[in-house]
Amino acid sequence: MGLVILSLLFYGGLFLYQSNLKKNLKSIENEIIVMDSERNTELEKNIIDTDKRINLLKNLFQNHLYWTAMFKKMEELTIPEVYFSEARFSLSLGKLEAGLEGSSGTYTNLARQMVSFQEDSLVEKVKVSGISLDEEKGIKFGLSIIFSKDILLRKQNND
Amino acid sequence: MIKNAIIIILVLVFVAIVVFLDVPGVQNVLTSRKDIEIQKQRFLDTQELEGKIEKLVSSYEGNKDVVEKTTYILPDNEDLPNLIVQLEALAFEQGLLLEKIEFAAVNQDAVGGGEEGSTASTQNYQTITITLKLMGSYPALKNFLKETEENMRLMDVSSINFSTSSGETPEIFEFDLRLNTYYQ
Repeated sequence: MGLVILSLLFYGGLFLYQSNLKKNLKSIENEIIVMDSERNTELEKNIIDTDKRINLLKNLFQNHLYWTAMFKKMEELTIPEVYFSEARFSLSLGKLEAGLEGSSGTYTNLARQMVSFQEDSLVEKVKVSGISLDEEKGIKFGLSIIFSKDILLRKQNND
Repeated sequence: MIKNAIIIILVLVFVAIVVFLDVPGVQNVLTSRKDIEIQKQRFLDTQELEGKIEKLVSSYEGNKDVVEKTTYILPDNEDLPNLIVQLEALAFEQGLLLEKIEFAAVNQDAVGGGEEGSTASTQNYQTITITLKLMGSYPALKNFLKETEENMRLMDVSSINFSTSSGETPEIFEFDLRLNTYYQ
């Protein structure tokens, strides 16, 4: 009989304890709901959007091109005796392709100009074409140069 | 005999109480305790998250001007009117005559850096290609390029063609430029 009463008492204790636990659980859940409801979702969305924008900009700036650096390099590599009257520069497959139409007083100057380009580490290929004698300009020629894209990625002091 | 029967009945009642009430009760208590532990952890995680969000919000509020700048660099739309004004001002300031402007949308998946049609990364931005025809001196072009490199709205030149405009003024060139600019 004692055991039966004891087991009933034990059950009663368990019942009360469980009720208390359920109350605690409900209280914690309510606190979480209150915390969530206090969040400013609009502002959080703006922050997420800004973060995305910054990541995009990071990527864009990593690939930002500095053509002034390229022109600075071209000026360094062009010898004073050569004059370019036409130029075409375009990006293709990670390379900068340049097509130049120029003139020089002598064939030697043209050769010096070619060597000047060929010796630069950012120049990958130099090709000459259409070499001809011109009454007004001296020696006319066309140069096709392939530069590494790095020439555009470095920000150099242009002043 | 009756006494034995009562003892058996009481034992059975005891077993029944234990099996049908106490054991499930203990199981429920254990489950509830486990749920409480889970919710407590969730509460702590939420609290930690709230703390981080508060810091972020504070940092965001304190850098509103920077955030605003990013919208100039990479606007939410094409904003062509503003672009036209910027390009005209850039050309005018450098003494270049802006003869022509054309805009074209580039298929998505282009990557920054001026190269068209690249697919190095799938980014969530759009590219506009601008074709410009300019006339002026070589130093003016270099200054124009410098200004576009440093312009608030990000621009990348993808190609440049130039030639002397006439035999009489060899220092004046016709320039054809192609630039990429971006928006979200």
